[in-house]
Amino acid sequence: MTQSSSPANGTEHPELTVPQFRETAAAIESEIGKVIVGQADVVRHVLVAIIAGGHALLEGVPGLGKTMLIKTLADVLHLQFARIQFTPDLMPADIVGTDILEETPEGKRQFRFQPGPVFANLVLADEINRATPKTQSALLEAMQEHSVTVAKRTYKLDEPFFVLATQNPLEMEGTYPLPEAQLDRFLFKINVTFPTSNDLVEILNRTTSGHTPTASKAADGARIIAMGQLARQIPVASHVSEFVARLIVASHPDNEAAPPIVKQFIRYGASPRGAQSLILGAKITALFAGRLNVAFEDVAAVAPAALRHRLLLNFEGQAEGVTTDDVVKELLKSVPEAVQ
Amino acid sequence: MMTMTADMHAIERRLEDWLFRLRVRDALLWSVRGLMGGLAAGLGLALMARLRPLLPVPALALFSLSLMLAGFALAAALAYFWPRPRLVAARYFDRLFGLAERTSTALELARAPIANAPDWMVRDQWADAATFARSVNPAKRLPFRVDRRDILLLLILGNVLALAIFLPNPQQALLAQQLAVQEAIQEQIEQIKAIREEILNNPNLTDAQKEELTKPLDEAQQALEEGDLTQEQAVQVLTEAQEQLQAQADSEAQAQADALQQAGEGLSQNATTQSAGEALSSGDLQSAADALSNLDLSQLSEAERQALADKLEQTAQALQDTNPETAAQLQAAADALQSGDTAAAQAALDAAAQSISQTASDAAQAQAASNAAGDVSNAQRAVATAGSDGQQANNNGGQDGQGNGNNGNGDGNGNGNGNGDGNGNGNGNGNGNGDGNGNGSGQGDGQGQGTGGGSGGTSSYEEIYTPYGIDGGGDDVNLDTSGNPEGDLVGEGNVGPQNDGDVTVPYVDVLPGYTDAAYEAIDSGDYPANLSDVIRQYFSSLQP
Repeated sequence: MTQSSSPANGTEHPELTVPQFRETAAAIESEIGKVIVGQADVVRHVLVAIIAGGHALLEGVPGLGKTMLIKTLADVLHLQFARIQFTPDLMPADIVGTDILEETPEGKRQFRFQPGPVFANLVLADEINRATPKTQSALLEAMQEHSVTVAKRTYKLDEPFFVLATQNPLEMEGTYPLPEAQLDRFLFKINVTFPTSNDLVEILNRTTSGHTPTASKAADGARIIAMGQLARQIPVASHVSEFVARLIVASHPDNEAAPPIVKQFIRYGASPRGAQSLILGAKITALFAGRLNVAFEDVAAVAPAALRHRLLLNFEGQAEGVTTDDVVKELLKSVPEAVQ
Repeated sequence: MMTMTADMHAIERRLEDWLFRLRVRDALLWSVRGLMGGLAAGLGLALMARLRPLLPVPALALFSLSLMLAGFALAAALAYFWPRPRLVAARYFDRLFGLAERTSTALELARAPIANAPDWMVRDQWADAATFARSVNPAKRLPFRVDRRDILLLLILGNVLALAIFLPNPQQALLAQQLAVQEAIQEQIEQIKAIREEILNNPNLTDAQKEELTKPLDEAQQALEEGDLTQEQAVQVLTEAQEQLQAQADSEAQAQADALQQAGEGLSQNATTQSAGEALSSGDLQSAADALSNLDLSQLSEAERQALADKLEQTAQALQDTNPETAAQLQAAADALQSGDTAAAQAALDAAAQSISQTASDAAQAQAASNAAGDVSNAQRAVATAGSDGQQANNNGGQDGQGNGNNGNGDGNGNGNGNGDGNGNGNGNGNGNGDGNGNGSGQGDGQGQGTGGGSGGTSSYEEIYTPYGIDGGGDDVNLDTSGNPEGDLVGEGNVGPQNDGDVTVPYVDVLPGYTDAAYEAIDSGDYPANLSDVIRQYFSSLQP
């Protein structure tokens, strides 16, 4: 990797250079690694989502450190953190806030907006699928517009704003699966897998001793925003963009380029947001690798996280036990990169 | 679009080098495959040549070699010059060298700005791509090496092709025969041209006669030249021409001319008609006619007139059967001389001269037609026998060869050699008796499979016995027509009561029939082909 020169004649003076990007990213991962054992891919994908300015949905059985990861991330990034434990009786106002009636020193009464926990930089929506759809939808505007509207008044959220939600794939009784529209607003859906035995030993060592590991600050919100801006400037060659487009088109079962697994098991394919997620994620992945261009391997690296929640299995697919990860893997295999 | 940096120039140069190496590598790979394609095509050709007579072995080998070279050169040229756009090549090299789309992105950035890519990032991207491009070792990923499977396939195809070409092929003998036939046809076309030229240059023929004589020759030549005739078709064409010419060979006109020639001796004994008689004797009928018409009868004495009248009368009697018109004119001239009417005699002699002249013309046409028919018959036999040695050689082996003894004395050796299932030699020895009936014994050895045959070769023959009486001398042959009731029936004829007793058959009456019968037998292949000339020579010598 060559050193990024500070452009003397360019008008686009970068707030962050590529080496600084890599140093910051490495520092963040290192600090998180002090608390979170293993789960390198999960950490990387969460970081990519945050740098991209997107939201991430973490899915995994309880006890794998999802909440710990997000809390650690907030510490490392020195962001304002809020945690919302989603329950069936959680109301939208509990998330976005509400107008409360208060009495002024002059004895008058007036409404004052009491911000909810969503007014933070990093919001942990824990077990998001346990709240009712009405409450879940309260997050929609915040996630998409980075603002909330209460009593006909719109309040802008502070930047950066990230929603990191978790959900448990096992205990589905009494839950409300997220609708497709809301799922689509998550940049990535990240599967948190069970740690390896070596990682588990390390977890035991860290958590059962007298010393509790803590993470230090490695970046702040401004640095994260700068990292995101730098990533968006990474060039993408036309044939890589075309490959991404073909990948998305092929995920639709009614398209003739769709592989058999899509035609058989998919009800609906990925949205254009999926393509955007792929490109943005690939750009950041390329920067992580110290590259100033997007390669096919970058796209392949983020494809599962970017597409798995955007593909809807049909009944046959669910009955056969096919996962969207299987479909994404097959898509990557079957869609040609058009290299002659 | 920003100015290209040294890094971008370095990337361009690297791409050029890689592209050249790729072209050479592909040319090498595909030239071998082109060679295989040529081999496969040659193999197909060789296999076809084993199913039908296509090409002789040397030509087949040469053609296969040409196909291989053409496939080699064409594939190599196509692979080398195949259009490879720079950007497409860069994408290929990115994948081949594991450059993670660095050079293709750099190239796109150099050609047109990619959205939102600032100048500093473009420069850094070029620098990054150039660094990685320099670290590539193209010899490792683009080696000048031919696939082992291709080499193996090439060897297999080459060996199969060699076997297909050089293993004994029965079609080769057939092909050799066809080529021999075609060569024979070409030779006979030239022969026909020569015959035609000879006819056209014959001063004794009128233009109408020349046209009539050359017509069958022209038709035959055209037919031979037009199509790719089989041996049978060519023989048929020549047979038809020969028959048409033979039809024009009027034997009666020839007999009339022969009779006039014989009669010339009588006239040459008279002083007045000596020149005319000598011309007749020498066969120059036209000069004889001129001499007769130029006779000056007015100066003759009474004795001379009487002598001339007697000679003319004798001649008229001699020609009564063969040349009745001329005989009548001569008889009229004799009568007029005896009565002293020289003018009438002169007129009659003029008429006789005219008749002789016509006979001369008819005889010349008949002679020319006969000669041409003979030549065409020779041509027909040449075509009919073309390639027979090769075919026999191919069919040899297994059985004993057969030798044919032919008329006349002599040994005939027929040897046939050819490429095929085997080689064989046939030897024929024949001994002939003087009467023209030959007894032959044949011996032959053959190896291989098939039937072997050795045809009698050519040799010198002693002169055929010629019966006397050709020139009218000697004794006539008397046939006893009473017959022998206990003997074998030798023939039947129109024998009536009024014809009892000895019968004299004029030689000239039977000779044309015998000659025609012999010629027909030759044409139908009843006689050995190599004896046909001997037979023709024999019957020609019998002509009075």
